[in-house]
Amino acid sequence: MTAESVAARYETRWAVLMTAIIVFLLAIVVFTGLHWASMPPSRVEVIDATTLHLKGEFTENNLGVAVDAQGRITVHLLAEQYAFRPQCLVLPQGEPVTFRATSSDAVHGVLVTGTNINTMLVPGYVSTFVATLKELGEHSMPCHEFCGVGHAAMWARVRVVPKATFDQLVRTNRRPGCV
Amino acid sequence: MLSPPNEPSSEEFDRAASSGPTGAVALCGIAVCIVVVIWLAFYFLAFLPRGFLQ
Repeated sequence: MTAESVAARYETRWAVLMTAIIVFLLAIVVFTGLHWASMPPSRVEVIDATTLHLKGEFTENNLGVAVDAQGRITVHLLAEQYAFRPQCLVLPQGEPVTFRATSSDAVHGVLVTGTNINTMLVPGYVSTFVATLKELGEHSMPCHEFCGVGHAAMWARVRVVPKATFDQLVRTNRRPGCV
Repeated sequence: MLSPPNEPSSEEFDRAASSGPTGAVALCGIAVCIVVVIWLAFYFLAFLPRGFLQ
C-alpha cells in the first residue's frame, strides 16, 4: 500500500468524522430551537426614524415599561447617541416581556447581561422579541455596537424584581421606573 | 539536484507510512474533543439556561 493511498484513506475518514460532528451540533441547535420555538430577535418592521419623537409608539411619554389591560408587559426602548431611553427598566421576574426597540440616529445594539437578550437597533427598523427574565437584581444594559465617540458611556440598567413588587409598582405608577 | 545520501527510497517510505498517521490522528482527535466539549458545555450550561427569545 502506497503512502499516498494511506493518506487518502485517512483524509476521507477524517472528513466523514468532521461532517458527522458538524451535523450532530447543528441537529442539537435545530432541535432545541424548534422545541422552544426560538426566533431570531429581529424582523423587518419599518418605522420613520425622523418622526419618532413626534408620533407613534416611541414618543417620550410612551417609552418604558407598560402593562396593558390583559396584563401583557411591553417595553418601548429608544437608543440614541449616547443613551437609552429610559435609562432604567423595572421588570418582573419570570414573566414574558415584549421588547420593542429602535434607534433615532446611528446603528446601536443592546444586550442585557446574564440573559440572551442581544439585538441590533437600526434607525428605521423596529426590533421586537419576547424574553423572560429569570434572575432577580440589577443587570447592566450596554450598547454593544460602536456608535460614536460616546459609545463607551452608553449604558442603561434593567432591574428585575419579584412579580408582587412589580404589580405594586404598576398600581402606583403608570410607567414603573427605578426611582 | 543534490539529495542527502540517506534519503529513504520510495518503498521504504511506503512501508513506514503503511501503519497510518496514528500520532497525528491522536493529536487531532484530542483537539477536536476539547473543542466539542467546550461547545456542548457552553450551549447547555450557559446559552440554554439564559432563556430563549421568542
